[in-house]
Amino acid sequence: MPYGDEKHSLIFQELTNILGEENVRHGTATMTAYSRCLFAVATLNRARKPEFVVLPRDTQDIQNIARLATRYEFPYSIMGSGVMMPLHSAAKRYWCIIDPKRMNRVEVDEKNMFAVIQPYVTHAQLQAEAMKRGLFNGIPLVGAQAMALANHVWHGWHGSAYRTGFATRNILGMEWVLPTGDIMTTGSLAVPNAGYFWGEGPGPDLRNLRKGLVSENGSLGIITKLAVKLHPWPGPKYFPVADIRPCKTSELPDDFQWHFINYPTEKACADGMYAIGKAEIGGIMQRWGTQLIAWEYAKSNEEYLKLLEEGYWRKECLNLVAICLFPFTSAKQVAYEEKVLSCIIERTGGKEVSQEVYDKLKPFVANTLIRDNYGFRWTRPGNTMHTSMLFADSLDAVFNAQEEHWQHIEGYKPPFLDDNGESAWVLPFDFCHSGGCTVDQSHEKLEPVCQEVMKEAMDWLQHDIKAGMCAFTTNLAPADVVGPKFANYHLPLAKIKKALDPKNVANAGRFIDVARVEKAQQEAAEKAKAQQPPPEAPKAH
Amino acid sequence: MSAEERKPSLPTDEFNRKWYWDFRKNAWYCLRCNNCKWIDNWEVKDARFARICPSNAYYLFDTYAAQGRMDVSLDLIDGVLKYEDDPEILDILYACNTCGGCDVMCKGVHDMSPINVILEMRAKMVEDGQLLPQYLPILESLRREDNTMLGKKADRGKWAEGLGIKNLAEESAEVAFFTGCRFSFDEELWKIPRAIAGIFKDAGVDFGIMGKDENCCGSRPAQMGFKGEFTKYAENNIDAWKNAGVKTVVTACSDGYYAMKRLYPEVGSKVEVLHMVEFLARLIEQGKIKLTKKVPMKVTYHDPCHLGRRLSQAISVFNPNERSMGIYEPPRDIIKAIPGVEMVEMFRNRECAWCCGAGGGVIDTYPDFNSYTATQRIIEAQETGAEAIVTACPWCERSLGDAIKETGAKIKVIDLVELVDSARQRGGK
Repeated sequence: MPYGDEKHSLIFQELTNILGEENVRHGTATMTAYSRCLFAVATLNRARKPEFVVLPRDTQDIQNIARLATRYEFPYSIMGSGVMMPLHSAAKRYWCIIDPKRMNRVEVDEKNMFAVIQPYVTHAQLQAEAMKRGLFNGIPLVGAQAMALANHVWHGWHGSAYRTGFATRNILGMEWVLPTGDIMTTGSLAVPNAGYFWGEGPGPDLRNLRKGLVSENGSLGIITKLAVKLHPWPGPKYFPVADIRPCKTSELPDDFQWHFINYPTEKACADGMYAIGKAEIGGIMQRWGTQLIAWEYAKSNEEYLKLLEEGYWRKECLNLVAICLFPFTSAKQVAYEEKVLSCIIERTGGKEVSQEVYDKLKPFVANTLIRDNYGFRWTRPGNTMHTSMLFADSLDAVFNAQEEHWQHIEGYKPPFLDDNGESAWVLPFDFCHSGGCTVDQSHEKLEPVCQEVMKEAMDWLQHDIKAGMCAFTTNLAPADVVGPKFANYHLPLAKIKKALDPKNVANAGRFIDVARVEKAQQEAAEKAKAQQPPPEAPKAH
Repeated sequence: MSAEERKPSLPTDEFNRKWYWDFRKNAWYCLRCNNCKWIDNWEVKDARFARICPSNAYYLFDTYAAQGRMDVSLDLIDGVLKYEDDPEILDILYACNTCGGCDVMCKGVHDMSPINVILEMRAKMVEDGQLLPQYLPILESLRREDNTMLGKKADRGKWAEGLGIKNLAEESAEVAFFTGCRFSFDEELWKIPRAIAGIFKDAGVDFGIMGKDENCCGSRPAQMGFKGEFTKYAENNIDAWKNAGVKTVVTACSDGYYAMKRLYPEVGSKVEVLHMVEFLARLIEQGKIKLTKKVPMKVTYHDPCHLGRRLSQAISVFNPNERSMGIYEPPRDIIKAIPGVEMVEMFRNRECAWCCGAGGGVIDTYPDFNSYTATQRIIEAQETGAEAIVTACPWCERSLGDAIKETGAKIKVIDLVELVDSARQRGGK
């Protein structure tokens, strides 16, 4: 027994009673397999391991685990793909990881255009089932092997978010197990026999409680079933592919069209994207950074470094807007949109890339953001990476923020590897009503390097807080650290967390430290009291 | 444990130091991206058939995926984890079909090779005396009888009795047909090497077999971690072919083919090695086999791992020149050339194919896991409406065949050779 005290044995026995022996582990080898990921903080915290890993089968199992955790006061975190281990940060005794592998069902309601997914359904599975029925969801930047439920709740910057909005805006009914083990249903699911079809319920809309700008990562309980919107898909069930991974290429049907448009400056690039969004054409549109193209195009690190050194993509596609026209209604629609696009390109000073560049890019990207995105090719150069995701209410602001971040990062090379002046990825949402951008930097996966990277992340966090920017880094910090800069949102949040999770067991330590908030409030109250002038003595009549 | 305490004591000799760093580089670079558990996302056509790793699908914990195995291996070689710390370590590292699915998916995005980490770790475990008890009879059979099937060496050539095939221990021939352990000792499968002998004779191929003097090819021992046994058998076989003046070795076993094609050159082999699928394609192209008879049957093809993705996995980093090493199209081309045969693909095919369950010693050591894996493939094959699964490996045939018997599924498994044999024009007519 790895941590063998009495409480550990008791929890292990109880978990075994609930789930069966075959679905509970506490051996050191299994704990090792749930202890690291790509991020610097996980590399530095390699020794931090859970004490239990469990495999629940259904909602009832999750309820029982939550009740047990509340009773014995041990922390638990749910982890799907495990790509983002740092988000599961209960560095406390008796930490239990809930691996939802047995919860892998996806059900599509074709008529009402939504799917109900369990926590261990990948985007690829969801997309396959949707496309079979002439519908589609979206594919996140990280790749379609990511879990669809977590990605939808977290934020979900899908390729098609330009048209459909980011994933959190596509959530309908939820079945949610509270940290106390009670079930809460949201949206139409709260109405008896109504089902999952509607996100807004009869009472207040609780979806934002889970997600905010990015999710609370299970700190308010576990979503066991989630309904997500599906959108009409005008294409085939899947595209024909050729060759063998990693050289796989794909062909889109003739009535889908990718266009790759180059702009002379970032400003022109943003203007072009605004114009395209205003015209409401296309199913996917993004500004593809040259670094991203080099990463995704390369089949090995040697090829990537060669491309970087040659500066091929930088020369050909520095400010590249990639747009895919979908025949939502008919081939005529694409013909019309092509004409509109052509006018916009001319008006905004863009230029379609040469045939040579087009022929190189298209077979590799035809399926990108529709079926998958080779997200993890980004990690090849240094075998890990650091990412900052910036989110803003306008594309202009996104372009400015990413420019500022690039400049900030210049001061941290090394540890960051040289990017040779490449450009970043920018994603518009809701036809350019808002936008996001990822500034990704490769670095070596070595402890001293990771320490430097964490320093950069902390500096950038301070910068974010100071500048009042809603960035990814900010949202990864506990709310009580960031809240004072953002209208003290952490104060009501602490009350909500305490009400829903009185024993602080759900992904404890990640989202908000209630005890710290309360202590700070108490100290502030005492200080204020001490500063108050003594009450005046009553005057005699 | 502090960072200082976690520092491993490095091997002092150069070979082991290099091994340590090569190994560590691969295992440490795992980012937990989750790709090793799923087929290529472009290829997912049905949510039920999206997984690539049988071990992870069966045992469910991440420890039973390439990612988890690399985490465990890393801690083991770094001394953070000891074998005695967790009795499950043996199962974690041995309950793997070494099908290479994780590896081909990983190489899609990284420059690393999980399958090599798993195989090297097994070799190290053997070196450290960490053997599965189930391996002991196999090891005994290898040492006494030179086969993995617990059969008698004297019975090895029994399948060929009465066929009048040249014995290469006594005569020479251009082509050596390497039968392999499974075909030699699995009587139910003898019809396949016997059909091959018929095809060779009719096509005028100058061929022979080593009969009772044939050794195990070493592929299975290598998969189980017995590197020494592999080298011994490779050297013995290479010498025997040299003595018999053999120019080409043909085998119908995919495991054996992988070993002879990809691993033997490292031991000094220079002979041409062909899988029966390739040899059939050559004979058809030369007009020595004519596929004229109608075989009215709807079939699907199961890609044996060692005839497909494993062929390009002797390397750690993806090499563009190695990309087409997997033999995916020749068997399909042959099937499609047979009159009357309707060929349908399973959801997972080519480099995304689901393993039959037999690989990595699993067929002998983890029968339940083996049966689960094979049954999943049968279910997938039945989804296509095919009457038969055609394949090109005796291990797949045994594993899938047993699952069909267990489940009572209405489908059969046949070797490509049998299909060709049914369709070919005989005796020059």
